[in-house]
Amino acid sequence: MKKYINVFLSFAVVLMLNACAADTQLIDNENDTTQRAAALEGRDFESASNAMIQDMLDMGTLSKPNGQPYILVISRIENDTMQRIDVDELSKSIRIALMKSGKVRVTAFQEDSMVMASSQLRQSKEFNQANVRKSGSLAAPELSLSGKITQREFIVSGKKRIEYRFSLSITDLRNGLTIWEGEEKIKKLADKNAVTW
Amino acid sequence: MNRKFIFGALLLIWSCAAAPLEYDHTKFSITPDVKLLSINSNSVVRERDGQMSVQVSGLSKTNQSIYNKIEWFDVNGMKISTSLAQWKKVNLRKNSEFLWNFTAPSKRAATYRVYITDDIGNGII
Repeated sequence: MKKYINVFLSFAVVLMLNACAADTQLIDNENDTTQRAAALEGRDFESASNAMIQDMLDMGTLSKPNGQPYILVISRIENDTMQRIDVDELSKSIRIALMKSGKVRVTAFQEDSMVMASSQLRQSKEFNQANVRKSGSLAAPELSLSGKITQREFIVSGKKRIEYRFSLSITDLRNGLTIWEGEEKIKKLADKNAVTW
Repeated sequence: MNRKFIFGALLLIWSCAAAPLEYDHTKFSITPDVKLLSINSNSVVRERDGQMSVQVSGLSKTNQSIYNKIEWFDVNGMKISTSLAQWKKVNLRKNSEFLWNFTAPSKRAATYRVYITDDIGNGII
């Protein structure tokens, strides 16, 4: 009898735990209006990059006179916030939008080590040389995208005011001139004890 | 006597009812709760790079917070996928003019449609 009671109790506990488990819900990216965090989150990167892409397209400075796309390299985007964030979140969405616009092609020679390493296949007799990159055939970048993300915090009327600033520049590597600069600010008002790191 | 009074009252109510907003339904999709007095759009294709730019102008009837979004379509009417087609919250002021500028995400864009609503839900699906 005791054995049955134990089995019944274990079953009841498992059932109870299962009932207490919180539901996980999916959020639609397109109309996500759920509560925002004080720290930087995906939606902040999305709105900052969208505003800057729209500005680049409005300005039209990324349109080469001959209609051909520019070759762009992603340079350093500095994270000067108190948070450990992956700045690729910002640069990735910008490069995707620019590539889709047809105005830019991105060279990955910095990020993808295989671009440089594949030149070693030239010496190998094991590989069909038809697919091996010829010497001097890598496309050199003409433009460079660089920037900085900064954070400032203030206590105003018992609330914490957090200001994030996304600054990006596109520089013409052939003459060093900046052809586009954009800045997007995201300001948040949170509880004064809100943690942003 | 009663009939005349009811008819007169109905006529009065009907004449006071706001005229429905007239707009180009091929270019705009506006939900009924958005209160506008007028809305128009003007598009140009930039000579320099063949990119389409659109300016939407209008007049708000009340102070309100609304969301707008623009979708772009190619010559075949197929939607062009872009991260820029996101809902954007905008505050409009009563009897004030608003101007929104949009530039197409690529040269493929041939037509567009602007969506305006006051409620996009909370996104939980």
